[in-house]
Amino acid sequence: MANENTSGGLPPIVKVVLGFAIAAVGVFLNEKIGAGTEHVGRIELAGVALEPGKTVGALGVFLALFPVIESFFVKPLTTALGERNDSLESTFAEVESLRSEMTSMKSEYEKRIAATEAEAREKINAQIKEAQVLRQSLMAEAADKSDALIKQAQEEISGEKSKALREIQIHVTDLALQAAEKVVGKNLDNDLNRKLIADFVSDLEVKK
Amino acid sequence: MAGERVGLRYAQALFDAASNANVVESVESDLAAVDYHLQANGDFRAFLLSPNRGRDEKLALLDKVFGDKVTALSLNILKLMIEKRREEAIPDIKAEYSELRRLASGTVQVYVTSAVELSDSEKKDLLANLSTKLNRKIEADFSVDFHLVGGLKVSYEDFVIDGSVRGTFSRLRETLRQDTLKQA
Repeated sequence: MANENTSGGLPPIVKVVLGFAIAAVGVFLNEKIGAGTEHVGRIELAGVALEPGKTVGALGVFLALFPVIESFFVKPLTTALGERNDSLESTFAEVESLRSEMTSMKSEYEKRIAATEAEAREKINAQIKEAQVLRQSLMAEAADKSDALIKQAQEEISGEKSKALREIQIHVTDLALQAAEKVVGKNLDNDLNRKLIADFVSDLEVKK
Repeated sequence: MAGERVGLRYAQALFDAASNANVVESVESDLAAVDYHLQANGDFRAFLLSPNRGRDEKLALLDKVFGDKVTALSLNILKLMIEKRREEAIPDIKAEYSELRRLASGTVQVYVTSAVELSDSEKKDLLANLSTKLNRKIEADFSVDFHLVGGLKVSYEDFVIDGSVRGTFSRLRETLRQDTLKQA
């Protein structure tokens, strides 16, 4: 597209006319100058075959045919190259866009992964902290229960010990009193019994 | 308990009638005789209290056993109790009647238990002392219980005066037991 006027600012028809004019000049020169001139003879002596008229004529024909060549060959080729270039540019742009998008997505995924990892780490840390707190709470509770059980057991042991001691004391007291009662019974003769009765009668205190 | 309440009602009625007829002592003697028969004669008691025996048979038995031995008032109340199907309260009526009689006369029933038999003078001294201290007439029931070891025990109404060796040791035992428990 950018090569629309690369052949110069002259219109094609002018180029064709100009080409034929130059070709006519070349034919004229070929007829007039030929190979008999001094300068041409020197050049030919130098080993170079030179025919100026044909050369100029060939240049004129080329100039006259150039628009045709340009129209049927250069322009389609330029157009195809431009399209190809546009296609490549479009493809490159698309690839670049995809790469940019991929980079963006990758970045986003990396951010999301990082965020997920951070969140997971935070949750793990929170769970660990909660577990530690729960562990400490359970240990403290277990310790309290253990202390309470030990205290209760000690109190029960102490109570049972005291109870056993009291029962022993009471039993010993009963035994001693039974023995004393038997001794008194054996030693209590009739006279003493009569005295007990007489004392009871004389000291009698009644309840009303 | 139900028998006692029923017995009390009949005893009250009998006592009121006996008081009006001035035969309180005689009726109590009649009831004592009936009570004796009930205690001593198992067949008589079983027959009188059996629910399988008819009223006529029981009334005939009463007439036969007590017809000429007790006052008409006593016999009538016994017959009335049988006719009303209240013969199960007959064993209680003697005690209730005696209690009513003692209440009316201001007399207190005293139970004296001693380790050895009390002599007459000891009984007399004891009753005199009790009567003076209580300022009431005394009716005493004496018994012997060698388990008391020595001394004697007097009980009346809701009171007990324990002067026995066994009682003394029991009180001492209880005091020591309470002291031991208080030390804990």
